[in-house]
Amino acid sequence: MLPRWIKVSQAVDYVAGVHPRFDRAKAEAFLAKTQIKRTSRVPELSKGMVTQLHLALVMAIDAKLLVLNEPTLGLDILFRKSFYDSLLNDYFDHTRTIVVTTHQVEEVQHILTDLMFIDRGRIVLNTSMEAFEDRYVEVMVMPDQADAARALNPIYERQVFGRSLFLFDSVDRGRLAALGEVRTPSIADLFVAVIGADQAAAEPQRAAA
Amino acid sequence: MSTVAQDTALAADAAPSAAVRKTRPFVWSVRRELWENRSIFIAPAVTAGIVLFGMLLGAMNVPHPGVIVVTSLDAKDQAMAAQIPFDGAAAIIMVASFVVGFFYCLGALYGERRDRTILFWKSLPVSDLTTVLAKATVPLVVLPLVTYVVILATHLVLLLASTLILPSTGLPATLLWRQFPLLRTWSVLALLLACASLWYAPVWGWLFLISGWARRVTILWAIGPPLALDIFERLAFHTHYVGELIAYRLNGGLTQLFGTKLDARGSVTIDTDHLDPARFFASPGLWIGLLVAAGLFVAVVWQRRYRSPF
Repeated sequence: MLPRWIKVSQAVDYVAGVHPRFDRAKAEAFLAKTQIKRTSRVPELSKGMVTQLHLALVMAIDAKLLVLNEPTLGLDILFRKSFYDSLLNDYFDHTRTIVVTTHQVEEVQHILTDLMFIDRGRIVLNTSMEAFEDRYVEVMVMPDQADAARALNPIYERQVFGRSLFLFDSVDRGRLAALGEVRTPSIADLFVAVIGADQAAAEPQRAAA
Repeated sequence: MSTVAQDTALAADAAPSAAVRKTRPFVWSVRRELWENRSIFIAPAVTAGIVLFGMLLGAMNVPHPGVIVVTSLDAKDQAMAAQIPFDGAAAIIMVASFVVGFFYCLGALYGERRDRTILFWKSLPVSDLTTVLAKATVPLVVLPLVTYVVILATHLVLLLASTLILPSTGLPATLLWRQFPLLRTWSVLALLLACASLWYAPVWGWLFLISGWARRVTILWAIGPPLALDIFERLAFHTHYVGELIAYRLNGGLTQLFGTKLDARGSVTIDTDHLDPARFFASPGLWIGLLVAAGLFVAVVWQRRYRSPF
């Protein structure tokens, strides 16, 4: 939450004035890529611009651990994409840890190293992305093979265009390939399987690292 | 202030990494308050403008009998007559500043809780102690300084305007310059503002505490309980110690400084001839007040640190 009265230039000045690890040039460079005017006050900015300003301030801070809570909320697709690109290219450097908590899991799936699901404060899944890809398999099965697939204890099943999509946990890929088209599931599908199966009426929150 | 900056520097040194810049959290926190609360400057200045406007308008139409009365007075009374608009302007501007200070303190910690920006402020490496000290600096130091500068400017405008206007009314301008003890007035004013700042410290502390505590209508929580206590005491015991305590805190500083007493109507007359700073600084009321203020501000820091802000 940025204060409503603050000007863009004041926000940069202030953070530069109090934060020992704030790189002003970096924040200025980030802002230069946006439409944000330095003399604008926060209420004059669009929702996306406020997020951009926030990110400009945060990403200019040299921190070992960066926690981003719903960082792309209110941003349009173009900026979401460029945000994660710049997060990876400009900020991430293998000595840093970035924690992103988000409901927009689709857009972070390909940049994650680790994945965690949290359901009402309880960690229900904690895995590296490599282990995730090894462990979970999604198979598109024709109706005549459905019973054979069910025999292998899928953790989740749904119908798509008359065919069945099964999600398997730790089942041999070779055996699954015989049933139909095999692929890595999306995080969103796994989330539905893991948490949705557990409790439909839950208030889910997803965390990915 | 220096300790705080040092602490930050030490903490930063401890972390093993390259680009660490020196920061001045206290200075920037005060600046933040001034950015956010521009009424600190605007209200006293606007008040001064209105006072000046009113007085100049009045001076244009000095009635003839008035001129005769003034010229017939002896030197001492002339000086007093010349002093009146200057003291009046100063008093009005000081009252305006007090009102600004009152509302600033009520909002100092409430505002950032209400609009949830406290989450932003707390995410930065500025301690609660630094933040509260920076906020407390506003009523204790900044506002008195602003008030002083505004009053001085007002006095200068008044002097200049009087010099230009007086001759046209038949009064010699030299009368004003000869009789008006400019330096003495300004010294007394500085002393008065400094003493008031110290004397009212517990009041600001109380308002800060309420500001950080109340969920809404801070003004009711600030004024209500003392008032209720006073009324309760009057009804139940037919005594008025609470009321006296409140009145003492609001007026006692002046009494100690100038040796004036409240008159029957409850208004205070200030007589600078009886100025006695020694008595003011020796009065237990001042030191007890400062102790209470220190305790209140400690509570305010603790509250911002540990209590849920919402």
